Amino acid sequence: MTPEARKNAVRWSVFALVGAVITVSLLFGGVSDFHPTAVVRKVYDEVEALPDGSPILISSDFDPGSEAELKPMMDAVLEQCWRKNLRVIVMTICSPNSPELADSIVRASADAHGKVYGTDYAVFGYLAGGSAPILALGQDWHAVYKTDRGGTPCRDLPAMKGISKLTDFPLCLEISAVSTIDYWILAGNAKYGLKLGLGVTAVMATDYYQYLATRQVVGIIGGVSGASQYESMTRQDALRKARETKEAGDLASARMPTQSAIHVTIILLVVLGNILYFAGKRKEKASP
Amino acid sequence: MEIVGAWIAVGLTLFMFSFLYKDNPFYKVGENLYVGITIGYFVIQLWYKTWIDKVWDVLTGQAHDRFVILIPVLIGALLLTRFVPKIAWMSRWAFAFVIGYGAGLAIPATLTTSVVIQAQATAKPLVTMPDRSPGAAKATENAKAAYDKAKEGAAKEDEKIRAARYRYEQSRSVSEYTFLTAYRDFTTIVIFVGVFCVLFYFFFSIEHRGPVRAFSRVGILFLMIYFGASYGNTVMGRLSLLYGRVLDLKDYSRQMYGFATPVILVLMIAVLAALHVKNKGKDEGHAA
Repeated sequence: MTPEARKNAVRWSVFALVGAVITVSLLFGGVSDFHPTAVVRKVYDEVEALPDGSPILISSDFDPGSEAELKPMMDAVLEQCWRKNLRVIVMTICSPNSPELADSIVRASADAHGKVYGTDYAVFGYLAGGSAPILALGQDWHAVYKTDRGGTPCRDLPAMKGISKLTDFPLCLEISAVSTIDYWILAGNAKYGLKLGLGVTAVMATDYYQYLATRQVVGIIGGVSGASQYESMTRQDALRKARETKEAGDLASARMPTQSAIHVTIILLVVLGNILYFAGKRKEKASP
Repeated sequence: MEIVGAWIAVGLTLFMFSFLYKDNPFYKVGENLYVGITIGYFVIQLWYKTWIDKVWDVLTGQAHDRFVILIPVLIGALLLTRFVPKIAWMSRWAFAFVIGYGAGLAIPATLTTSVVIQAQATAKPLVTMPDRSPGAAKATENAKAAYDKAKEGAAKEDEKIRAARYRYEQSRSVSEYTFLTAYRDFTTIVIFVGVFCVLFYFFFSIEHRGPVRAFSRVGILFLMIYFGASYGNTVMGRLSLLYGRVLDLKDYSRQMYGFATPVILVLMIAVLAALHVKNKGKDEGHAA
């Protein structure tokens, strides 16, 4: 076997192994029961502390590429918002692709809870310019967003009652797959003192823990693991039903058994790789 | 329509996955479609959401200051002079504006959020003294009462009990020196040691020998742990996306979607096998 063919064989066996683990765990998976960590619970507690009917701002900064990771998170957060009758205002500074996705996620969740567009929630369009629109929203919301996504004047939306600038929101949740979080921390939190909770992809989570100790962000929901922890607090009925019917839908908790299985597989592969590497080195040394 | 959507989703997903085998016509089709659709969608969104909404509608509106919008439009248009070598120098004005504005906005805010506040948080006392004030004691008492109340009547591992216990422990860790307080102090010490040693690692003005070398070695350990955590999270994030696609492939393999997944998979394998045989014949012909 040529070295190239050997390399390909190793590559293929890793793909095949990961594929097999996913398939098997998908067939026999189930629904995990994760207890929330303090970091995730802090976001929940902040939302829970809002008086009924308060406005809450969700900056939905992800596009379909990260939907698999962040949609379950957003669903879990929305569940809590609807239960508390919060007025959910959704916007985005990520990309022109984001409002469409955010709109579909919020509408589906709102419809399931009998919430009415305009009264209980509103979705605004994409704002280009990084931190600039956040700074402008902090001065006058209505000067930046004259209408919602559908063209309804902002002042005609009951959900926007009492909101004239960013700081009228007692809490902002930034659910993001990109570095727009930096803009929210720089402009929203540092400039206006906006209370900020984060929902981020797992890849990004470690980069934002530093802002927790300084209380620049109130908490972090990180990846599917964070979403499953949030679900354990807000979607208990859905979890119970999923366990009984074995129909998990798009619950993050249904993804965790597969995640765990693959993590174990990757750890074993890393260990195996190291063993083979050191064995190879020893062999090299031994040979004259 | 739903069936057509399922077939397109499955087809494109499998086209992209086929790259794991090797670069092939299916992957090329998927890749080009992706790039084309993304750019097309982005351009249309920018045209309607930025040019029409933010420029055209303003200019054709009734506001007395509507022509002010021409200033940023002009600055933006100057960037396009890069395409005409003779007047390309004019684009520097636009770049100067963008860089000046960006730097002015970012430098003070970044210094505050990422340096000053972070340094303050790192310099906090390594050992926490319990808050003996009557207010803190009262808060702990209230949290204990809420915890006791939650235990009555609720199921053993109910989320409400967990939340009440969490709040009680948090409150108690402020008014008394508990295990949680000790854990927090330990974390503070770890952060302090980590920052100190990592700074030493990046301190290149003196040779890393003696105690400096020892500190910088510890700094490397901290960096390794950070990279490990980031890698673990990256694996989790990427596998969430993979899981999302595999879940769709599983769903669309049902009869109601016309067995989209198995049919397309079999067809693709057949075509790839045929191409392989054909190319092999060609290669052998060339060799002969």
